Amino acid sequence: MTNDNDRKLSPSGIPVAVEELATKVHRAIQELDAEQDVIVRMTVSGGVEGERYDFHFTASSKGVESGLQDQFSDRDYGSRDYKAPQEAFDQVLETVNVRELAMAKEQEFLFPPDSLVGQLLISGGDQVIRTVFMADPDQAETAGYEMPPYLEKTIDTVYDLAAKMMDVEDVRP
Amino acid sequence: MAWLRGKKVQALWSNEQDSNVHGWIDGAWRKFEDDHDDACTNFAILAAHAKGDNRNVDVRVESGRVKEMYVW
Repeated sequence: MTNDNDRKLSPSGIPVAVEELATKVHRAIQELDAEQDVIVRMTVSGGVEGERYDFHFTASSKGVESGLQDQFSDRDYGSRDYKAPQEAFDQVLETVNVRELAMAKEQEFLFPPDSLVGQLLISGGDQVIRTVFMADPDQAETAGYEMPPYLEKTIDTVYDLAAKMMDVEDVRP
Repeated sequence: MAWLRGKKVQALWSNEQDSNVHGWIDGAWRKFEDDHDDACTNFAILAAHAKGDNRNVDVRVESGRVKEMYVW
């Protein structure tokens, strides 16, 4: 049975203030100190008790910090600071497409219980873009979730940078 | 997802389809519950007032729909 609601259109524009965030992110790439309140933060958490996965990554002009606690794979890397924060921040910012993230249709299906759920937050002062995603590829496939390519690029960059910071091959769940 | 508290309604959007209204709240477009026409209309009215008067809102979002809203 087709859900008539699935045929309804969604907004194709973004608020003016969010356009300003896109401009801020662009300026922050051009000149790191130009927009000091731009922050990129990614968290991934979930899993049943005893198999919890908790990952965090925060990047701004003030520095880059990341940490991982993974009970399932017995990985605990605490919290690490990146030695070349400007370069790392630039790398992440270049993957961020504020307009695409802002226009993405919010997830309308239920994340199954105990799913690994990620959140990508792009903020600049009062403006924020918040995107949630399924972080475990197997769970995502089972649930029928498809990761948008513009989001996948940012997530991959964050994971790769975090792995470098923790001096390991990979930090993905 | 559950409650988003102390947020602003920064933008509103609708088109000619029935019960099709979205509000930009806390960094994303949020679709107002459209299973019931009255619910969608009521949310739109509340959200418009919240936006116009710059009031804070608490919204409960589940399955990608705003299901409940306080305007303070």
